[in-house]
Amino acid sequence: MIVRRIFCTFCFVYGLFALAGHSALAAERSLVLVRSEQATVPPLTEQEVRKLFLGEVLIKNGQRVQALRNLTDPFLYEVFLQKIVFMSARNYERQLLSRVFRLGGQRPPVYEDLNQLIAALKSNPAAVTFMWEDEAKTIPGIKVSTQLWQGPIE
Amino acid sequence: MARPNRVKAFLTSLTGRMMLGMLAIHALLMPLLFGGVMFFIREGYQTQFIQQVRSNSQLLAALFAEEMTQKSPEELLANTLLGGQVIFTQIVTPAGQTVNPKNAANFDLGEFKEDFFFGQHGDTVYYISVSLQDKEGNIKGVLRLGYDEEPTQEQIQIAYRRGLYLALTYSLLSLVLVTFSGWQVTRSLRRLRDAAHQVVAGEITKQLDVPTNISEVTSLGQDLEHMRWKLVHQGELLEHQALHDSLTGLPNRTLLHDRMQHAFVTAQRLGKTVALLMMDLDRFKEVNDTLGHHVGDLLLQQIALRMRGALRESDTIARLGGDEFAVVLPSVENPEQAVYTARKILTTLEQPLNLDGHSFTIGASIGIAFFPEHGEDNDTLMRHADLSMYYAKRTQSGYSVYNPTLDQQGLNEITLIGELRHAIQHNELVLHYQPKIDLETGRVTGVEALVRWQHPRQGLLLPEHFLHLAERTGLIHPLTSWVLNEALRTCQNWHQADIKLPVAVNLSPASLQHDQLFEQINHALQNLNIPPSWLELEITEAAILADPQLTQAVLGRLSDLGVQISIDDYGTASFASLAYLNKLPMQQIKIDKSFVIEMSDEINAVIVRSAINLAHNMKRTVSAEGVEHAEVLEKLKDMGCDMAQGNYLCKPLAANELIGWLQQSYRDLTDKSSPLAQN
Repeated sequence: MIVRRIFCTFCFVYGLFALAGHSALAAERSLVLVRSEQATVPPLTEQEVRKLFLGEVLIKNGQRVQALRNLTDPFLYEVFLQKIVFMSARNYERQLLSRVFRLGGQRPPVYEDLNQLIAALKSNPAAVTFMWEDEAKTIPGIKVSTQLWQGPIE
Repeated sequence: MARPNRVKAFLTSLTGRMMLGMLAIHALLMPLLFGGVMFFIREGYQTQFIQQVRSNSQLLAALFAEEMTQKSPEELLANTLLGGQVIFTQIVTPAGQTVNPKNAANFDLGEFKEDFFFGQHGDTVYYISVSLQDKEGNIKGVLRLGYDEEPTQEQIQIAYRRGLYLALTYSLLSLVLVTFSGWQVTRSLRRLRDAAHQVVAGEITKQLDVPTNISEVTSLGQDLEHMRWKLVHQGELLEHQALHDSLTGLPNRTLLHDRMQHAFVTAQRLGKTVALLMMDLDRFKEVNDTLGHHVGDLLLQQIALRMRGALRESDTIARLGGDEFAVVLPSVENPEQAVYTARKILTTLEQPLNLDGHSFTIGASIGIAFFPEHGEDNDTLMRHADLSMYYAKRTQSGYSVYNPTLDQQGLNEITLIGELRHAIQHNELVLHYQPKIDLETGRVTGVEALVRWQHPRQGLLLPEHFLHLAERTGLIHPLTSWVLNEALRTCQNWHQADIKLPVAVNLSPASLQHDQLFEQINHALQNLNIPPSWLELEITEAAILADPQLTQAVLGRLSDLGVQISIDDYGTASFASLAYLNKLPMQQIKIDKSFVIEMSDEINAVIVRSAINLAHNMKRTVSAEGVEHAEVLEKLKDMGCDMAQGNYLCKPLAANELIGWLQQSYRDLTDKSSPLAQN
């Protein structure tokens, strides 16, 4: 009796995970660059975004654009690294650090909390960051600046 | 069965415990350590792979975008596959058409699934897509690349394997080292254990040596060695205590026997004679009784010192107990030599002793016996020396050499002691009663109970024949108890017959110091329902002076009970302190008969008169013992003596005889010729 109950429970849980996995397989997502609604930063090209996040100085409309690194979702970060920076996470950090040592300045700040990231974005009209488009649309006060990449996510 | 026991023994040993502990620690830590190291190695390899894939892909995309104007995309794709690292290449045009490498077998790809993590889809290929953009930024297509993950996975597997080998090698080495360390430690402990076993087995004369460089074990070894040394020291001390007298430091009886045995063997071999001298101090008991045990002990120490000085180094002097000493002269040429030594000892003892403020001389009696002439073993020789010593004491000759005729006397004494014990237990003793006469009225005021022994062979024995034996052997206590009970029972019978006479009982010094005396008397009085005033206890001066404080306490309790107390044999112990006598709860002083009998001597008469006056001045009555003649009786009356007793008045009589005498004495009170009527 008990064995049967455990087996049924196992099948049910496995089924739930399988469904969740299938839906994950089918997801198509867009990686976008976002800024606050009040921001005056114009849309940036992929090359500009890459340079910006690699620590290069980018002036737009007389303003120095500020890059904010979004580490609230590890997968998002990996997609960003692969599609925009073309580096592994460790190499990216090493590259930023090396640049700071060579040329001075600061590495783009890291945010692991979404609320803090949004607050930082809203407080600086020249700041930009990256996130999933569907997520960005649910957050009031920010708007999508540029679509960086779109594709299936598994 | 042996094997599991050995395994269990090993596992419970220190080495076993260390090994088990090491294994437990490694079982816990090794997976953590190994897993952690492997995690970082894998992360490193994978990160390196991803970095390479992403940067290569970007470069290839840039290269393709530029080269595509000059070369066909198929050729470019085919060239990309040449390196081996990229195993899949494809270009997807903006129109959705796919371009594959020229004349090259592409990896069989089902559906392109881009990877963002190493091994994300479990297909050993890392797929990545990069946009192909020209210089103006126009999208010319998407470059799809597939990188082989297997070399990296192999590297990780190799790292795993090598890490595992290292961990196992490390564990094995640790196990070996722990075993070796355990063996090293236990080797020292085993040595320590062997040393402890050596001590337990009693092999303590050899110094313990525990060679080790482990400080704790060294410390334990030192402690053990210290303990061994202490044991040796204690053993020597105990041996000395077991073989020597603690008071004088002289050899005791055990060592004496050993020395005698040794002397016998040597004498036999050399054809010589061994002399054994047994010595007993004269009047030592009196010293002990009158001046206390402390002075007695000091005396024995002084005697031991003097005897040592009088003897040769080769002679053995031993204390056998009490005031008994023995001397072994291991090699004497002739009997005269032993006699000379005995005389020398006696001469040494003749010098006055000064002890605790008291100066006096003490004599000794020495008995001499020779090996092998008088005995070929310890016991016989000691017994014969003892007998000759008793003979010397009795004859007051100072020393005496054993001769076989002494044996019979000694035997008689031993027999008599046994018979006395039997007599006390089987009521062979009898009491005779001697009346005390009031010299003013001529009436009988009381009787003194005097013990006699109705011996089955020797007839009626007086106390002087057996009392000293009773005192020497401890039979005095049951004897006193018997006398007390018997006297009180008789007294009770008389009172029931309307003869109202108190009875006096003599107490020896030993009885007075008996801790149960008061309870014994009280119990006897209560048992027979006799008023305490019917009992009178006669205590000698010497008994009082033996332990004045104890005597005062005991007599005080008895007097409080109502028992009458009198001082017996007054004048024989150098006259007790008057002040002290005055403090004692006694009602009567009895002048010793030695003064009364010899009252024809003027000095004795003065002593008796003084004693009478003294007693009267202290408000005590006085009684004279040993009235043997009418003249003495007259003198006593003239001197104002209160009471008298003696054979002239009435000799001691058995209880039934006394009743007849009493009836007669009352009749005689009217007869002017009777001593009782001559007032």
